[in-house]
Amino acid sequence: MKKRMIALGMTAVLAAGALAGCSGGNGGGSGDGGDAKKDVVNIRIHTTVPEQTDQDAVMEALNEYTAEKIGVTCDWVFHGGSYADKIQTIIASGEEYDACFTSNWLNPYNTNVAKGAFIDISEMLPDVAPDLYETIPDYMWTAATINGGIYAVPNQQIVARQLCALMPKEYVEGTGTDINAVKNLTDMGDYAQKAYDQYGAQVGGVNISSAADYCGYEYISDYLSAGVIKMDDESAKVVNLYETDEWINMLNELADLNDKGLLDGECGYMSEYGESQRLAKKTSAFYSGTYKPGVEAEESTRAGYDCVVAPVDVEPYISTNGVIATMYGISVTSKHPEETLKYLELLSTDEYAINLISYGIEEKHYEKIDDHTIRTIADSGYSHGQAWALGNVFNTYVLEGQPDDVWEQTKELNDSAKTSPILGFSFDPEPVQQEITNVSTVVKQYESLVGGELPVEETNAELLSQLEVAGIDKVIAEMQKQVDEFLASK
Amino acid sequence: MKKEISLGPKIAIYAVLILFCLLCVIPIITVVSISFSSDMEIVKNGYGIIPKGFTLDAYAFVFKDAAAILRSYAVTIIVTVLGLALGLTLNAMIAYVLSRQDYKYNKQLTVFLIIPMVLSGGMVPSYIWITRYLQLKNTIWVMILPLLIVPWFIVLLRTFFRQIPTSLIEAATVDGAGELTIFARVILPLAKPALATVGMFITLNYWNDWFQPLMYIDQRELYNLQYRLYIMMRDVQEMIRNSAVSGMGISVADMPTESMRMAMCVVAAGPMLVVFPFFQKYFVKGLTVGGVKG
Amino acid sequence: MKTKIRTGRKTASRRKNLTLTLMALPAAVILFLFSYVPIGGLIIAFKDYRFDKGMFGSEWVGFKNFQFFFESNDAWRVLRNTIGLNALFIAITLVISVALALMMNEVRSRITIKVVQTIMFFPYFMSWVVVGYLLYAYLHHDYGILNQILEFFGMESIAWYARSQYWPFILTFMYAWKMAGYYAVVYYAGLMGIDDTYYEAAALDGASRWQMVWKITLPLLRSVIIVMVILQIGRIMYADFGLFFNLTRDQGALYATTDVLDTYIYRALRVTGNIGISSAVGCFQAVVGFILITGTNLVVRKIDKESALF
Repeated sequence: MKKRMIALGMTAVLAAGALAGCSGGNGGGSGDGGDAKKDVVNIRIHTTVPEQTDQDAVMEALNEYTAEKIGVTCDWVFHGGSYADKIQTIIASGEEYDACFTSNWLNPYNTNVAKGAFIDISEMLPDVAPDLYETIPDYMWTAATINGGIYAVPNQQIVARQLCALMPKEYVEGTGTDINAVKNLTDMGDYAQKAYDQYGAQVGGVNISSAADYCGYEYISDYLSAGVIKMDDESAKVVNLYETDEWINMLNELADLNDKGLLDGECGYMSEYGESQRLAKKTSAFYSGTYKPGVEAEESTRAGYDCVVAPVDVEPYISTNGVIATMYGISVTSKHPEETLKYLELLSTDEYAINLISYGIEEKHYEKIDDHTIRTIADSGYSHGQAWALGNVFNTYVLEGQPDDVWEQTKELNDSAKTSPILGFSFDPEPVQQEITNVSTVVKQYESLVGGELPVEETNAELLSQLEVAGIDKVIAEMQKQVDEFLASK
Repeated sequence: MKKEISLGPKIAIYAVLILFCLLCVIPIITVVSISFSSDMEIVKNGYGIIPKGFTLDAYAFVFKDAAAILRSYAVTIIVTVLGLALGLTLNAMIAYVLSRQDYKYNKQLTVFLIIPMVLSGGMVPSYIWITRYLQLKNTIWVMILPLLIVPWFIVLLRTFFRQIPTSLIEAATVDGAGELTIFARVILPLAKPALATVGMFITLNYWNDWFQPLMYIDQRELYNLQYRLYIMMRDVQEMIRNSAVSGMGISVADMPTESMRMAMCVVAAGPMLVVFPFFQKYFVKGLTVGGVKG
Repeated sequence: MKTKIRTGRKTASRRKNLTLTLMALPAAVILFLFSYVPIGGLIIAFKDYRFDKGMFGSEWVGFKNFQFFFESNDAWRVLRNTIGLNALFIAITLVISVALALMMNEVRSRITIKVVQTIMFFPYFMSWVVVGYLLYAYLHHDYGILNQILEFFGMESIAWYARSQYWPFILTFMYAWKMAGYYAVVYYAGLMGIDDTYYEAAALDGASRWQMVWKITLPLLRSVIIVMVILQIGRIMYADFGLFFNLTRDQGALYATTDVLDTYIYRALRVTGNIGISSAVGCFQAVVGFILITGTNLVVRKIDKESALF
């Protein structure tokens, strides 16, 4: 048995070795996509989409299309969950590639630009990709600008953020709760009690990384560095989130729920735990979702049970972080920056291309219900659901269950939302990297405050004094300085 | 013959050993049991030692792409077998050289081996060197070569080799044997427990490795078992974690995540537990170092 | 006991050395290729590394990256945790694994030995990720098995993941659980290299089992033990990231006793994106490791020259 396995394996390996030999070692660069079409350039793009069993077929179709349209084929590398681990090394090693996914939360845009990972495309845009330049709204380009240069192409999707509580429809209806009246944790009091009595479910509370959203503040960087500005503060005064009244109020609300035994505090700071509790329908409400049109249908499919959402009492808001949540930067090591930009333009403007790469091949991976609505086929071998990570979602098909005009609604939300006074500002942590590291360690130590178990006054006072020792004042001062400079230069 | 130990200590020894074994076995049983439990039950009632809601769902999910899993098994086996053969030979050879006090460059060689145990250039330089200069990316060798020579094992082997009386080596030399012959005919047969131990460790090293493929392999045909499982788990975790940026059309609820995690552990470690007894027959005493008068 | 092998002829001696060197060559070359060459990359520790300038083009900043760690508020705590916990791990695991090996040595039945060895080795097969989840099942505040047991006996349940004082014990216990079996196998292999004739002679002299263990087994096992310990001491500055990150689930409340060098740097890297810092810390760990290894080795040489590493 083992012998046969080895023989099998040997053959597989030899075949693989041959394949490996053919496709070469690292990087893309110039070369054809297989057959000698004249001047077809092959590029290489790294992304966070997980590997799909049937991706070869889809890639072939896509490359055929793009080769004809713009003379470019692409070697997509689907990294999936290992993206974070690998991309840092790939970039740092100076490996040749053409573009990669970047954002504020994965493969951080700011740091990459600061360390020279991407090229400035602001000059190229109007010439090489005029359509792209036009279709993407100005405020998105502004958000992606750092020190006057644009270093990545944003993907269009929902950018207006509004924190909302995800709740099982069954519990809401079963307890006779009017969801429109639930705007924050206090409003939830009744519902929480009833949900506990009837279903044994507790409130998950607030996810620590969304705390500022709940309180009506915008993070300068993220929750670990504590600096925020109030969402409607035109003067953009930077303050320490953990000093604000809103934060203390939130903590008190959580502690209150906890005292009544209605809070499952660990959901707020033990990341996986919170989500798995929610998916298991053990939380009656959990502030961790973002509101967008069609989110209910989406979450219901994800969770396997009907979900409803209750947005917080804070307006939808567009911050730099919201906009740069999904982008593609063109590498300094790319040998074909112009072709790559053209390719990215295609993903942003061409419906066929973006749908192909997002949903696969018609009949094989999805079926059309009508002109622009589809239903995905289960276990088809190509289904990643990460259209947002690839291009312009507004050009993609509507999924069964989403409202027909979901994209129109989303665009409307984007357009009508309040934009941040510091849109386009990105904080460079370098001058205070020591203090920021200290501060983030301290914040991490006190994360469990959102668990509602610890005495609020006392513990928060401790947190604040530790932050002082860590150098929070210096951090806030530096943030303010950079913000002021930014505002002055506008 | 060793004197038989008296009953009191004997009971004590057995008691302690049993206790320790229980400590080790219970978590394993838990893992296996969870892998056969229904995710719904786990989530409702927590982990348990007995499977609740017996189901093969987790395994079905793991083996969904059976062809890919089998291929990755094959890759892992090839890598492990090659790595073991080459690794044990080379490490043992250099360990033998080190075990000879009369070797001229003994001290220098030891230092040469110790340094990499504490000093490392880090991920980025290794990556640059291996992918750009050695051109080993996406080859089977990148999973074998970097792990081949392990100073820790070499030192271990050297220590065991030194236990063998030099009189035997002297005798062989007097008989006209060259170093290679001494190594093969005298040392190796006598060092079977040591070789089996290190052989076991080398096998484990290769079998469990997921880091080399993570960094250096993009091609699915070359993924080894551990890496394939790692990807599966990471992708599921990403879907759970990213509620705010998740996609559509996929029901996370359909994925038996908790039990799947454990099922993967079983799939990954299982074969090793079968291989272990194979090495074990060399572990057991019965070795006679007799035959030559000192 | 150790005698120089006299062959009496210079050419024979040279040929011997040549053969031995050739035998060591393949392994040495591979080691050089994969472990030594990348060491050159340590210059990143001294540079302000930029992706577009690479290793050689980036600006030299001397010890600035090293300063980052040492000037941090948490440097002392992190160092103390790393060295303290690792030392605890080494000591406790040593005692347990040697004890286990000795006990196995006393067992007559080969089947028992085989079964015990296999079972003892199980924990080593499990990755820290899986162990982390299992531990969570035991220590969870509400559903955890440990708390359920406590409550059953009328005691209060403890918020394990929020109280840092318990964790040195928890971590040591988990480390010993995972590694004791591994080391026991190593020491057992060492035990088997001990010539039976020693025991026979001692038995003839009327020695008891206990005396045999003290006077024969342990001293002869000493060289293996010492080598193992020296090597572990050399790595005392390196924390097993998998262990510390997964078992504690990166809970900030536990940092006081569980934050070690490797987890600290991991977080710093996420916040600053500066790989020069992690390279600098790696450099520091290496230098200290090297000093410790040579230091302990020197001490050992004074006491028992033969057991020394070099």
